[in-house]
Amino acid sequence: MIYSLYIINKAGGLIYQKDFNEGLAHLSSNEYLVLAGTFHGVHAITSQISPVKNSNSSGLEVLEADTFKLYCYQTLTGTKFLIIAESSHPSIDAILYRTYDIYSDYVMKNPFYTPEMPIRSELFDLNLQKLMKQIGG
Amino acid sequence: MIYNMYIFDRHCVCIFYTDWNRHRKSGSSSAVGTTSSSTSMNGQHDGDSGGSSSPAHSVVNNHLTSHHSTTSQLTSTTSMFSDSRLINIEEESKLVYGVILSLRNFVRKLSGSQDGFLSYRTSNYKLHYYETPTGLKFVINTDITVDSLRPVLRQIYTNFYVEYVVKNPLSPNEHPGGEGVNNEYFKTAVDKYIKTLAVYDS
Repeated sequence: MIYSLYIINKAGGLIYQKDFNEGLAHLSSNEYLVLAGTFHGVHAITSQISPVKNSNSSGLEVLEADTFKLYCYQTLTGTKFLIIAESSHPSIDAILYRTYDIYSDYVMKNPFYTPEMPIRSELFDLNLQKLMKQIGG
Repeated sequence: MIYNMYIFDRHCVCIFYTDWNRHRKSGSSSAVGTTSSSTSMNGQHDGDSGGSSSPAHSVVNNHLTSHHSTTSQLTSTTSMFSDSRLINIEEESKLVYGVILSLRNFVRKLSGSQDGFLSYRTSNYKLHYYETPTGLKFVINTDITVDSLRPVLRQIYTNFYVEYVVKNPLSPNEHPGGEGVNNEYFKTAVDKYIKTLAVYDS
């Protein structure tokens, strides 16, 4: 079961947030913005504190908590896709890539969309819903 | 593969640090936590040989006998990084503390449970986290294939920390100066225990 999706732009601003299933606390939009900003900072630091010598670590990829797991996929342009799912949910990676596809098709290819700004696109919402239905989330 | 371990008290002070499999240049064994003065750290940076055998150290030894233990500690903590890694252990432990505290609050906000944050992983390490009800934070870094080490951290807390540190009447329960847990029994017990684990160098 997938709880929610966050999209964070390369500056750490939350540009999309949607809950698909109940299970997590509901916060105000301000608190979501704060969480996204926090995550952005933490993500940058986690790649710096790698204990492995002479190798470049990525930022945080999976965060395990007792009631959920958070998966983060950072695109080459710095946009981060976060999916929060049930701990037992298998193969989130494919869903992350699918979400990125949908984002490219319905957000980035939209000529009226200003980059780095909040996403308000009906088609994007619609296709995300479709994807979630497909995977039974 | 287990890389290193930190213990933080509830005031954000790193009271214990030790590492394994990190292939340091200096031959000194597990170093203790943070030390307070960061200005002298830069001055000690070239002293990579670690031990008190270097000439610079014997000079220090002659002039400031009382300060000798702190300077040799500084040398051993700064020399544990390769040249490519410029952050020293004191800064690193602060970053680690910031990360775990932020993530703990992040998880608390979303799930509402007090003790929700278990671990995270990146492309080349995994950090395991355990917090006691008193606010002590145990952190251990491993490679990404290792399963949850929370039971191990709990063991270290109940079997070693409580036995050797808490029950020791001479050990301070607050560490304002950052001297940390300077306890041989605890250090060797933790070292021995970690080395018996199957994941230690697999």
